[in-house]
Amino acid sequence: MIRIENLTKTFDGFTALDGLSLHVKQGSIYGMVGVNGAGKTTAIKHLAGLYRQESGDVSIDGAPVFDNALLKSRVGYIPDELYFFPFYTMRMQHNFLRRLYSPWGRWNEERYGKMLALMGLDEKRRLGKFSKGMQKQAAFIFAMSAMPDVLLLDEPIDGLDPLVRKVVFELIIEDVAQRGLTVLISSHNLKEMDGICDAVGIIKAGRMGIERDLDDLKADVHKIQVAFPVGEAGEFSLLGPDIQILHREKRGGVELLVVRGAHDLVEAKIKAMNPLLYDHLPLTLEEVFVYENLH
Amino acid sequence: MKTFINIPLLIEQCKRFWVIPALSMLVYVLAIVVPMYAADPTGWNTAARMITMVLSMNHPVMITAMVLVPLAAAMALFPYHFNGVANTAFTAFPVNKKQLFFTNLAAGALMFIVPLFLLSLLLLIPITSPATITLGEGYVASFSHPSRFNPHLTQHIWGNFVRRGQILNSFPIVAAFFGRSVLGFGLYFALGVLAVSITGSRVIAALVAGIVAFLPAIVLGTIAVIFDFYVFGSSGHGMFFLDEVLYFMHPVTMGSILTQSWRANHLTVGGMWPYYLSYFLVMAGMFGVGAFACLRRAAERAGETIAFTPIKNVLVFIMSLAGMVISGVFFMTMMQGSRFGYYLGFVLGFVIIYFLAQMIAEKTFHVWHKVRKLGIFGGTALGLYLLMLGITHGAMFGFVTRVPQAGDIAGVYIWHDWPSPHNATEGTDFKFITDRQIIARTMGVHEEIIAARGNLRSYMWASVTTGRVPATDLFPISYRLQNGRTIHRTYRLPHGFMRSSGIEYLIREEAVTFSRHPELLDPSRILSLHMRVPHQFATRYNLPVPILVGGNYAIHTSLMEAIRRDVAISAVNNRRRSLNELHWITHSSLSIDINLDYMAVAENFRLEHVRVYEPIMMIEGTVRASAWQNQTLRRFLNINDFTYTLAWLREHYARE
Repeated sequence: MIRIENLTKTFDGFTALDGLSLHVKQGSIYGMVGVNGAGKTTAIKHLAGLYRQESGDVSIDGAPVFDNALLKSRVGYIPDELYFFPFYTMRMQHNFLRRLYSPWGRWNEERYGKMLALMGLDEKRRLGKFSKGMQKQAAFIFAMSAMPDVLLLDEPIDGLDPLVRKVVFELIIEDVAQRGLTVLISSHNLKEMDGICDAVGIIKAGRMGIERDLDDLKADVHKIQVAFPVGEAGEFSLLGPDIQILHREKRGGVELLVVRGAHDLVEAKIKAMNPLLYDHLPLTLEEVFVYENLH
Repeated sequence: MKTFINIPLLIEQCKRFWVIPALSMLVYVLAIVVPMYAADPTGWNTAARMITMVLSMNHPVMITAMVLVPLAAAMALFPYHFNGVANTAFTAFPVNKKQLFFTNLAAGALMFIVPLFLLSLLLLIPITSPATITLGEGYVASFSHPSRFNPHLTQHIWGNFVRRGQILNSFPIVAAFFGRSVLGFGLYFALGVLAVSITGSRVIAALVAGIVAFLPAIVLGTIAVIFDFYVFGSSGHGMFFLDEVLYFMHPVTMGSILTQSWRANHLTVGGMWPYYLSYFLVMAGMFGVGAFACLRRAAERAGETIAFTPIKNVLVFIMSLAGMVISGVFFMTMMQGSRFGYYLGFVLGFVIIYFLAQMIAEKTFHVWHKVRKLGIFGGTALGLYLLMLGITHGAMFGFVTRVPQAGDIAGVYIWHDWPSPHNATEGTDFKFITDRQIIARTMGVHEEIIAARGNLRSYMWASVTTGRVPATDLFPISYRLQNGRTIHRTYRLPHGFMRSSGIEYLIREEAVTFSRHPELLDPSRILSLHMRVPHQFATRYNLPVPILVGGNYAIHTSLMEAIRRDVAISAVNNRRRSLNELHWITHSSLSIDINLDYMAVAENFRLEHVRVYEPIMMIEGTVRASAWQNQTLRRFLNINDFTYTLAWLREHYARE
């Protein structure tokens, strides 16, 4: 559904994206993660039709996105920094967006009413007077009421309290399940993304580092706790080329390893060293991200 | 959707900024409509006068609104060029860039067109004031109530829209007012759109709008100054065309100049249509460039001072050049005309302004890394300067040293002040002199000037930079060749040179004096003469002050004969004068001992100087521009020996 191939973008000599490639299946929730300045927001803005790429392709359903009004009517975009018309109340903004999206057949007034009631926002109040979290809620309501086929979220849950976050994610998941909504989320809150994303892309220095289904990603990276008898140590250099050590840490007599490789192979090779202790620990997305970037 | 306008967005933008048209309308009503209907019909500020001002777009409120309203609309409607966050929101709307631009364009146009339309409707309502305006011969307006309104203003305004005797707020006239206003406001809106399309800051956009409005005049003025100082024989040429450039560029300049009216007769194009066409083309051009820039500019450039790097570099370069020149002149003046000071100022000014301009362009004080580009910018500036020097210091393909052959010359025209043939019309303002002796003397003077050009150039620089030498005067020479072509030169000459070379005497020849007043040779063109006799003579001979002589060809002929004789004598008298001359005896049997300084002698047609020292008869003539051109001019003639004219006036006008 969403496809980026070899995308390059520079700003005054600084290369923000350097041949980025990214693929998102329809009806999936894709998490885009990366350190600050990796190029996540730049990539999202290309998908939202804001930026023109210097080279490469950016397409949704095979159609180029840049300056494509039809495609933009199907894309809901919630940026990190929100903008509403100055001095506008939520009702005024709602009326405008309803008029703007209705000709495309996209606006769902019933949904708007339900979400407004659910989140409990005051429609008569100026948006500028809302807190940051309330503004994010308003942005969600507007975006979801336009019944997008693609939803792009840049740091979506900043400022949202846990209850609202739960409501928002439930709505997103419901739309994904019922309408085949495709979602791309860029966030630093990897714990939350761990529970919601189907696939993940880790961006490093403007390039895609790893792009996998989340389960596959976790299946390939393992956190192992091993301990050897006193006076002995594990010869991890003998693990071979199929096993890559991402992180190694000694805590007293116990070694903590984060390795990439097939689970069975890792277990067999390490157990062949006759450790006193061998423990395979669960790994979070956050840990995968951290160790991949540290490596 | 394959339309240019997004209707929901258009409606929303109009709703958001309803204040602009509402405020405009309020101002129009309070400042124009209400005073007009409430005006005292017997006072100076009559309703009829007001409506004339409004309909001719010379009302100060209209002029101010024509600049401010469109610029405000442009700034308000394109915020996404100034703010990255707004840019993200606007660009994410299901609207493409073309629709976004044209929708905002339409919204802006509505913001000034609707109030103008409503104002026009209000102006159609008949005014209750009994004062009326009628346009008489030559579109000279007369008012049914006393007014100080300059009648000549109207002659350039109404064109073919007005018939004699018509009340002015008729439908065609108000419709023309509406059309002119829309054109004027539209031009300034285009200017605002162009400014916001290339800049990313409201402040810079306002500055760019201000500069672009006068860019052609600035360019011409710069070229004129270069010619004035560097090309021998073209002093002051470019300045003659500045007026026309300003007239053709935008209506506010024209409106303010017309309001002054004293330069109205410098409009060399008959009728207003060429100016309206020019405004339309300028507006269309700016909209075109603005549209191109808006559609091409990158979203990530929102908020940058200038959205296009090449334009940014050009603006930095131009600012640096301007700083270089100003600094060069300043240092040269401070260092007593020193060339070293000139070049020192160039370097310092260029470097300092370059970095300042970069700070503005990059919105940061940390621009020291831009020193890498200083070499390129400075080298380009140096190259341009050397190129300019190279072009202007040569003979310029014969321009500097050419004096036509005597046999090729059909006539000459010379004067020591305005008008020059560049801003005057042959037959109307002057006539070429065909006297062969005058032609020969003129050629001799011209050759002398060319031979002395080295010293004259240095003298001119010194007079400008140090101010310690006496001032100079412009001296134009024009040749009409046998093949019909004309050659013009203008020299800036010190008074001492004008005296020593014989120019002072030459320009006071009778033939030269009359060449400047061709109407003196053709009394049929004179419509009326307004004459002010000096007070002591009016009292002595019981003459009215002033005297209006008009409407009679026979009277004009005999009076003009007397005036011509006095003009010739005055010219002879002026030739006899020299510095600090003490005696002047006239045929009027009045001997006056006057200590005249040189400036009063050299400029004895400057009324304010001469009145202090000697009696002058002032003659203001209303002259038909030519036998076939139905346009009137006011010509001034001051004579210091008026024996024959005085005798004629005593015979015809002395009261018993």
